[in-house]
Amino acid sequence: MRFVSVLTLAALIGVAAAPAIATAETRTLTVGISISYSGKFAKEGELGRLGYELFREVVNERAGIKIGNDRYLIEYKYYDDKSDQATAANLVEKLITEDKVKYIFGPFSSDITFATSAIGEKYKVITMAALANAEKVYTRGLKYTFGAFPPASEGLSTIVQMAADLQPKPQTVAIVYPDALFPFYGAKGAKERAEKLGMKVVYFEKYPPTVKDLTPVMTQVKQLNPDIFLTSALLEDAIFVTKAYRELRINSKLMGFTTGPAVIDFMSALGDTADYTVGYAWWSPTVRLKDDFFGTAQDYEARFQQRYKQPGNYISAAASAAGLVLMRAMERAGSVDVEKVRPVLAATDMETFYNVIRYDATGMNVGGFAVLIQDQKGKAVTVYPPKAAETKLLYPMPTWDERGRK
Amino acid sequence: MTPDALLAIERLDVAYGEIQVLWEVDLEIARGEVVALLGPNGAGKTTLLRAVAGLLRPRAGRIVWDGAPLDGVPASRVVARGLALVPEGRRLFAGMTVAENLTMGAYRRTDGRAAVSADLEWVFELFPELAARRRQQAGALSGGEQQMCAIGRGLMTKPRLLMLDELSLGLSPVAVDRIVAMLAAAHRTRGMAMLIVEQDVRMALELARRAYILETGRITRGDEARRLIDDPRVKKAYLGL
Amino acid sequence: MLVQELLNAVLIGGIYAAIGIGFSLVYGVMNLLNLVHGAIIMLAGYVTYSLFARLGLDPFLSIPVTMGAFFVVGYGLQRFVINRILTASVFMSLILTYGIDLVIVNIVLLVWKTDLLAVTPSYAGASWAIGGLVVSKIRVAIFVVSAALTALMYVFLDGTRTGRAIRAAALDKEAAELVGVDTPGIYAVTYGLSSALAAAAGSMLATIYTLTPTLDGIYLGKAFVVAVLGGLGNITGAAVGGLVLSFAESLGVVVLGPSYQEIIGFGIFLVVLILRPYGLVGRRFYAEI
Ligand SMILES: Nc1ncnc2c1ncn2[C@@H]1O[C@H](COP(=O)(O)OP(=O)(O)OP(=O)(O)O)[C@@H](O)[C@H]1O
Ligand SMILES: [Mg+2]
Repeated sequence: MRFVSVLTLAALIGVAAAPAIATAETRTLTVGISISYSGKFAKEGELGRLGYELFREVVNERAGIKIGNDRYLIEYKYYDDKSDQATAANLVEKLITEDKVKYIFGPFSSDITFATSAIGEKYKVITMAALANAEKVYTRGLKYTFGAFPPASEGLSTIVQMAADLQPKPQTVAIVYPDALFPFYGAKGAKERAEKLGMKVVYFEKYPPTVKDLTPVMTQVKQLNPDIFLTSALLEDAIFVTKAYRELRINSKLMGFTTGPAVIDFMSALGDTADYTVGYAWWSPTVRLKDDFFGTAQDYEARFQQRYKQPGNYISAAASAAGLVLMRAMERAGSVDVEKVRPVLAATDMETFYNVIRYDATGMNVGGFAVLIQDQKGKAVTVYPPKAAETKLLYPMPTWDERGRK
Repeated sequence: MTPDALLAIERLDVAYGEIQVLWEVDLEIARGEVVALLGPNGAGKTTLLRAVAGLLRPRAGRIVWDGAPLDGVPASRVVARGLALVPEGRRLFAGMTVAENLTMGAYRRTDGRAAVSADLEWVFELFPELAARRRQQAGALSGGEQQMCAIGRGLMTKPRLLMLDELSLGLSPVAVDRIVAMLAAAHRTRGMAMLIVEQDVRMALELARRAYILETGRITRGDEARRLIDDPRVKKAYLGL
Repeated sequence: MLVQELLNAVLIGGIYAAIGIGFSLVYGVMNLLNLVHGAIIMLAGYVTYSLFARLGLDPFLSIPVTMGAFFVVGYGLQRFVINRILTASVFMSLILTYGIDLVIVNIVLLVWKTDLLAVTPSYAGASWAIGGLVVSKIRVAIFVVSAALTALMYVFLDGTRTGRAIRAAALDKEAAELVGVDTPGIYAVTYGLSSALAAAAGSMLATIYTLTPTLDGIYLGKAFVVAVLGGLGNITGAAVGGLVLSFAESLGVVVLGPSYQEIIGFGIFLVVLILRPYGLVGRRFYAEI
């Protein structure tokens, strides 16, 4: 009887142990990625892929993600969305229905993500919308979509936020933007922040997006002589605005852009006229942030440069960080089951090398902050937040008379 | 064909696309000769002049100018060979002054500035009305003055044959008389041949030594002018007698 | 500040005139709506950029270079390509010139990519401060060169043998041929001149605008409005049209706000098109056929 019991026990243990030993073998988790290889977002798509790839490499060289007793290696299934919304939606449907993926890493641009996340939602598949931050992507009550970029409107607002603590404190703000949706959100965000911080918005005007000569608008700005002058627009307009700013000898204390000062083309197009302008980036290798996977921002930068022979960038960084956030959620959930991972992921509040990531109810990353960049003597340097600053903001901007004397 | 003919047209067919307008037209002009081309409306007179001037390409037949073929030579080079057309409707450069219009006539000339300005003065002597309005826009001239300007422009090309299409059209009899007198004077001093297309048959037959009659695209008669004036059939059809 | 706005308007007007004159000329002479015009301005801008970036050639000194080169290109284009379809339908000529425009855009994409490029000589952005007014040096220079080119063009058309031949061909093609004008050749010269003017505008505009491969459409649009305002085919009219357009745009901003910058100009354009299709200046005796 005892003997039998021992045998039985041994058998029971054996039975119980056998599958445990069997699952110690490594499994693969396939993530679907439909992203731009061609079309207008080919470049951004490539940067996104580099970020996703770097994440996969680091995971796999550390023998995969440990979930419970299992280890999961990551494998990607890629498609080219040709920078086209409809194509992207079809490809994501194909990834889910034919390739049977349960997780999607998102494409570049809010517009394309707008389409693909809806498909993910329909099939209850998680989309890491790492490269989309327009509000419209998130305000549809999606449950399975999670971002990485901070909200679009946060960039220009951060410039206003920084200005509030400057001495002499700026009192008046002028904001111009082309008549289009995306620039409008940036401009509106900055306006609301300025008003909240007790500044006076003396000029808030849109101009037709087709206008090539902004001199008439800028003449009005000159008349108002605002302390802070902000432009929410794409690169081309930013260059026009800066040229007219100099030609008309406008003298604000601070000049900020959504796109421009952080971009090489801006500096090469404007030369020393670009000096003192402020822009933002969603990431910089100088930020003092870290996590226990990629290490510090500098560590990430070093690895990226070594691997790809080019400087890191905010798109790749966001893509890598999105992977990390999902991985941590799976680990905490102890499962790769979408329904178990989703609530854990939604509760994310963590620092990564890229930024703080914390989701609001819509899955937008509201924990992040923008890094402010100022052009100083032909170089783009990080000046804000203090956590990231390489050097001090030059403020107020010297007047054109003062600049002429040098 | 007369061996020393200035212009010899042989069996000329001209068509506008599929629509043939001239059939086997034969016509000759000797040096210095004044010839009239008569015919009812739509007979093809203008078409013939335009074909000679190089504005239309004949379908068949030959145009021989001064012993050399003229087929396929574009209008801009025909004029350089001494063949000028004063077109129907005058076709002045309305936005240019009278002087500029006349100067344009000498566009292709290579015989020097002096010769050109001498000719310009000659034209102004011939038509004193134009001299008075040399700086005026051609579009602002009266009908008679416009016709003078058009003839003057034709003369400025220094033609050996001047073709005139309906110069009397829309002008008062007085104006026509004056222009005809001046043309006769020009002919006397320069001795160029002329081919005159006219509705005013009496006037044409007074100027011309010989005349052709073109009816529905075919030459039906060619004869001495005075014989045609006396012909009862011509009298009836063209002189309204 | 109104004085400042007016001053800006005059200077921009000079630029608009430079854009419109060549376009108007080609239409006036050969009744061709030349859809290539904007692309030539754009391409000349890129060439100016390369001359500046590679050889350090000042953009204003590159004007004779681009004018010469584009005269030759324009001459050849008209002589060997456009002349062949000029007698066909208007539709054909639109298709052809649109096609050439696309070719140029693709050349630009191939050679210069889609990067934003700018020509920035040391004096770019510099200005004089006179009393309360600021006057951009580069814009004054552009205005002066544009005005000089317009005047030269006027003198050329008015006082030279070839200039008169161009006008004659414009007024009455057949009558011009009857006095010996080789109209295909004159058309080629005209197109070459128009391209040279466009090239000069392109070289200069490269210093104040940023080069992108979508500029062709924007330039073409401005050229069209300016030419129609002044009276298609009328050189002096194009100069007036340029000023009218820039004043309308400035007025729109001052009176109604920046979003209306283009509305007033476009409104005037439509009114002119409907009420005075021959333009504000008109083309006296031009269209009498
Ligand atoms: N461009 C054209 N296309 C087609 N048919 C034409 C054209 N021009 C003239 N015709 C036709 O050719 C015929 C001859 O015309 P043409 O003008 O030569 O006659 P015409 O003798 O000069 O007449 P008129 O005395 O009225 O000037 C007419 O039937 C006319 O309708
Ligand atoms: Mg006739």
